[in-house]
Amino acid sequence: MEPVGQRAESASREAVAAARDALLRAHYDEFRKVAGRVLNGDAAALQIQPTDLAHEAVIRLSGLDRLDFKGRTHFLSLSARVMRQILIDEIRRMRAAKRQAPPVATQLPPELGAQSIDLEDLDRALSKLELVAPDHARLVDQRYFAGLTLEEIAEIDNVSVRTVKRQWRAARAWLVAELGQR
Amino acid sequence: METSLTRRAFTVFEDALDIEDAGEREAWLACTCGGDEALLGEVKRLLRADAAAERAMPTGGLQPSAGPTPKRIGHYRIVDMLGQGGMGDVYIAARDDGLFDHVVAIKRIRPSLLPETARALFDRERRALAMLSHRHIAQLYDGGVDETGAPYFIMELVRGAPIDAYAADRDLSPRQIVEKMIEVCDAVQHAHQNLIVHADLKPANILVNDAGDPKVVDFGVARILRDPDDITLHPQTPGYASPQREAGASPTPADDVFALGAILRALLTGEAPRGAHHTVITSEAISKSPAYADRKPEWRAARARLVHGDLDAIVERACALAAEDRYQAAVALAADLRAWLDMRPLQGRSNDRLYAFEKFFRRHRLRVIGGAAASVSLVLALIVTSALYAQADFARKQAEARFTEVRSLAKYLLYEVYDRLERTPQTLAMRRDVAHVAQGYLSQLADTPSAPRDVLLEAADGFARIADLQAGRSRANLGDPQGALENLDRADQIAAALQKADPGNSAMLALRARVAMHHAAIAMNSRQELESAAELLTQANAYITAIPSDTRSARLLTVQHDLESAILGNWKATYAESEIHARKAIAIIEALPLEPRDARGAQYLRARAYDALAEAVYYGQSPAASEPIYQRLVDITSTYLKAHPDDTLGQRMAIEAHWALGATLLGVDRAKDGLAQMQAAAALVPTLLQYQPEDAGAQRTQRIVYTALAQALAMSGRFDEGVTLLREEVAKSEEQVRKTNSRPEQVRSYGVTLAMLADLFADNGIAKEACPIYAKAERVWLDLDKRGVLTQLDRDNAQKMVRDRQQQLKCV
Repeated sequence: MEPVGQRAESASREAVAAARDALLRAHYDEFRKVAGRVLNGDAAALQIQPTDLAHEAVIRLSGLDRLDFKGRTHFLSLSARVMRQILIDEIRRMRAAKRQAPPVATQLPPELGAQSIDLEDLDRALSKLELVAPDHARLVDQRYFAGLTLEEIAEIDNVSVRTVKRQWRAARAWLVAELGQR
Repeated sequence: METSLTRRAFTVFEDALDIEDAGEREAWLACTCGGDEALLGEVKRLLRADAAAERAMPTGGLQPSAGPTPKRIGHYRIVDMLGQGGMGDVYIAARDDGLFDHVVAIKRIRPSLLPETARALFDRERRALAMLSHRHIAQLYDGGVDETGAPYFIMELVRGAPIDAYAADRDLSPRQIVEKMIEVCDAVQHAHQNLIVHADLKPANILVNDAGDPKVVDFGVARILRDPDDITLHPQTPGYASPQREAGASPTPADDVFALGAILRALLTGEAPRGAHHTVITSEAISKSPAYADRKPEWRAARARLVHGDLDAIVERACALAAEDRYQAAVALAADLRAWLDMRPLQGRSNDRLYAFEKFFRRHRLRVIGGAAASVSLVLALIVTSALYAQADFARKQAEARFTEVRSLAKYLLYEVYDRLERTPQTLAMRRDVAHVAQGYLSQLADTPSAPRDVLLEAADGFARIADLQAGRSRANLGDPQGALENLDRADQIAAALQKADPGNSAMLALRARVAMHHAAIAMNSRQELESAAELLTQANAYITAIPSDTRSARLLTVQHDLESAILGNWKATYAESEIHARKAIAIIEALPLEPRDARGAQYLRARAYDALAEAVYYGQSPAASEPIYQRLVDITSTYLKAHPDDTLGQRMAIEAHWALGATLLGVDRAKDGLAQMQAAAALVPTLLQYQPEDAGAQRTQRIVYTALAQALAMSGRFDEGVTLLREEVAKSEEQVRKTNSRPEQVRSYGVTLAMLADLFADNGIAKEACPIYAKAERVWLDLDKRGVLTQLDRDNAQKMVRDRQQQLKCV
């Protein structure tokens, strides 16, 4: 079998990470604006889908075609983790500003139990997964926060679809078990 | 430790997924976990959760969430949902304001996909798209932004299926597919002429209605959503996106052509493309396509046979990875497809004469009528189209100010910057870059349809200038005769077109004369194509005689013409004629008052005229008779070099003069005087090389001079010094061959150097040393011959001489 660590250790990852950091530094403010607008857009029970956020961010961000990336999927993949972070940051900021602010819920897809859960709970679970299996956590970010398909992820990371599918099922199983405990 | 437990559990879990049988899996798990209860428990917990998740939704994609369906948009009532896509949803809607019945399709873009800042552009582009009216384009009626902020398009409702599904359902033959694709090409061409690129062509965007009419939908929509501040592009579907699009470049008509080719291929093979780079040619893919796996082998073979050859070639050309290798326009692709239907020779394979003949023959046999009118209209369409492309890419986006800027930039680069660089040591790479950038600017200028005459003339002049930089004799050129020929052709095409409107224009005539003479020079000096050089010189003469002869430029052109004719005469061994031309050139130029501006060029012309004259006399009369002429040449060049010590042109002229005089003196047994001249030449070489270390011409000059010096040494009784010098030259030349991956001119130079070393031994009676070196030289000529790059001149002289000398020496 292909060891899990292999993806993390692939040489191109470092280069990609450097490019990502530069990209995100350049666009952090734009992300925040998007997240803020999404969060402020609705009333009492706030429910958002992170993939919408991701797509809006992509559409709004300028200058992407000047970067040497393979288009939207690459960009989404690179920024998935940061999108989650910014979203959570914005939620916390909003809560601090409005004391009575409701929890921000998101509708999990059916495979994750189709339940409506607090985005912060999801974030906590993913942060925990990150500690023990960063590749698997990244996969969830790519899938859930960037809305990429497994095939797209496989292509971006240059691994087989089969490998991604196996990892995804492991990550998903862990997440279902973890969230189910609450 | 929890970390390692979860990680290990993941590893075991992922492997366990491969074992489908529950019992087997249980046994495998027990064995693998080897009594580690915590691990086993964790894996089982994961497997249970996985089973639950798989039941809820198999491992596939997350579906994009559908927003609530709006009740109405604009004046239209939503009747039904037609489909969902990445950008948004498509509805069937009916106009219900009682004015008239109208059923349309409405595409509603996700509210979040269009930022406020892009609204103005959206409105402008939407109106441009609404102007597109073509039988095979789904008409865009209107658009706007609804109350939720979602932009929408109201379009012609096409009731039909995507073209790939249509082709599969109806089992379309290659012929029927080609007919449909011609219609699609026409639609795309129409849009291109209106400066609209589709940017996301794929089967799903080509619907075929019940009447069998293909309709291209979503024209330019992908572009609308990206333009203003380069808002990110809508990604094109992989497989239909050209490599340029995949790399993130802005969409161009060439990308649409690529997509058309990919669609054609997909329809013929029944398979969606997997990437921009398909490795299997279309007809072969048909035999292997899973889509046709259940067909009879005969059916597959018949389909592959039909596609084999022409359609393969058409797809290859449309899907060429480099944009410039593709069909220039959708109309050109359509023309080849029509030709395939009519069995006319194809543009895509027109190089193959036999093929064209065969096609022609078949066409007549089948009595298919093709007319000249068709090709004329095609040419016209191509001209219009390529002009419009350039407009789309350049003129449209760039205002007049930019145009002027480009114009002055090209000029500045080509003249000021380049000349300055040329006078600075070690700038070959930079000069090459400058020429390259300038070339790009010139192309933009020349391709701008609205460019006024003077700008076009300037561009043509610029192309001629670049050709001069690439292969001109009057400078340390960039060593690119092929590139030079292309630029000369380009310059001449522009000038010819301009001349049509104004046949007597002197500037144009002068330009064409210069171009023809430069072309002739390359033809005779680099390619030994003496006949075509002669024709080009005749042509140049016709241009020159049409210019009023009392002008300075006419006189200089005449000098140049006589000079080139003299050189050609020397190549052709018609020395008497050559001498007349050379003397005439010298007479005119000595009579010209030398203005500082032209001094350099005129001096160069004068020096070369003396050189040509001396050569004609040397061969036509006697070596001794040429000596005073060479002596004069040495004087002229030495004087010039003293006045301009940093001028590399002056350095080269002086080196060549010393060398020529020295060689003449050696030939008349004045070894000591000859040696002095060779030493003078060799003394100048290091300075030249310091200025132009990477220059091919300078390296060649060095080799020639050192070789001659070695011979002079030997003839002056210093044989060993000569051998050492030549051995060094052979080694250097060999190194060059290696470095350039056996470029013919380097190989030739190696052969010449070898022969010279062998000559040195042979002339001094040392056959034992000479023979193996001659054998080596002979292999070099044979190698060139095998590669088809041995010129007749070398065959007659260099190769023959090596053979003769081997015989004389009785080498085995």
